[in-house]
Amino acid sequence: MLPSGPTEDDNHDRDHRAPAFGRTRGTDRQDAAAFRILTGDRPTGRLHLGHYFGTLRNRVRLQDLGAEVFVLIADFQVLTDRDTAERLDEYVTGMLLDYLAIGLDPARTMIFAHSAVPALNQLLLPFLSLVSVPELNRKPDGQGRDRAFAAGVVSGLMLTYPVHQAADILFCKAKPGAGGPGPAAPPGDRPADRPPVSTTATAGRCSRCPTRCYRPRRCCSAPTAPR
Amino acid sequence: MPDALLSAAPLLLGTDGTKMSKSRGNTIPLSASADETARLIRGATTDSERSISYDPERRPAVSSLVLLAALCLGRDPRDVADGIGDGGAAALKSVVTTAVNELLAPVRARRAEYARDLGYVRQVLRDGNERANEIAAATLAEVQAALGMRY
Repeated sequence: MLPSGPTEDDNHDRDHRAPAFGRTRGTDRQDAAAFRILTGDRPTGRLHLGHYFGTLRNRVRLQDLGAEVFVLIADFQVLTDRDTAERLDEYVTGMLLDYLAIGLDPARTMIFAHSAVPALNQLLLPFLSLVSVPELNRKPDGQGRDRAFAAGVVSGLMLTYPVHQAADILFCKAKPGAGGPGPAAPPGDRPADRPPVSTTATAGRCSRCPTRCYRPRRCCSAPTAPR
Repeated sequence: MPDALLSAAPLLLGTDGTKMSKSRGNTIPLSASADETARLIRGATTDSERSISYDPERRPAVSSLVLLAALCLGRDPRDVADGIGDGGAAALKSVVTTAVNELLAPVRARRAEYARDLGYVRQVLRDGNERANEIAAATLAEVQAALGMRY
């Protein structure tokens, strides 16, 4: 018999008391159930305490509040800043173990891998048609994009990373949040006056593909992981 | 722009006093053993000031360790720092190690239990993949229909 999640143990109680956990808005149980949240991690190593306090425990908290949490294992995105994805099997297994151990409950939270969902890549194409090259060339937001742009070694996959994120978020009709385009920079890492590409790509100015296909549920900022 | 549901995440530094990041090799992994965790914290950067305080601007490395203990204990970092006072880096690291290991002990226990049933763990991902494919296929069908791609 496998253990159930840590919903009622000390660890979870601690989360609620932790001072840096932050004030929240509109996160009582009734509200949380209206959210569908897409978040995730690239399998490039072992998850650590920075991830735990930055995002992982919030996923458990939101799950336990009744939000629908989708966790994307962004395996294709490993290739944005490296030539090969190494030790993927080991890292993905380790991440799954960490998710389960901290209390993500697969009966309530969907954990899936990008590479296992081919339709995601088809959904990318109409999104790519919505985003201009200057927009893609704008000062990027994390994932090592800033370094790569500075060094002039931006791959096409890295260039289009925000568009992939838009497709990732919107395939499940989650909402691109103020805090980041899904599994990206944490709130505060991005200039407040600049919406993420995932927001502009779906802002309802598309003449080719009616955005009603992607009408998001209630808005929320995905709890996101430091990279 | 939508409201943020969650506040900004606390920024923990790595054991070398710079941003905690897999690529820098300065992390404390959730999957580390209690001993490995103690060793990583013992090797963490501090400074030469005897008195422990929470001052992220001036003492980022020490303050991040204080913050880590505070997060684990669900306490205010200033109180944690006051409690250590003149105990110095050794006392700070001892507090951090105990706090982290107590927080992670039940996580490690569950992790070990799941690790004995990797078949189940893989099935979790397969089930998630299956459901994600159903959702993605439905969205793709809507998009194709909207684009007139009905042949």
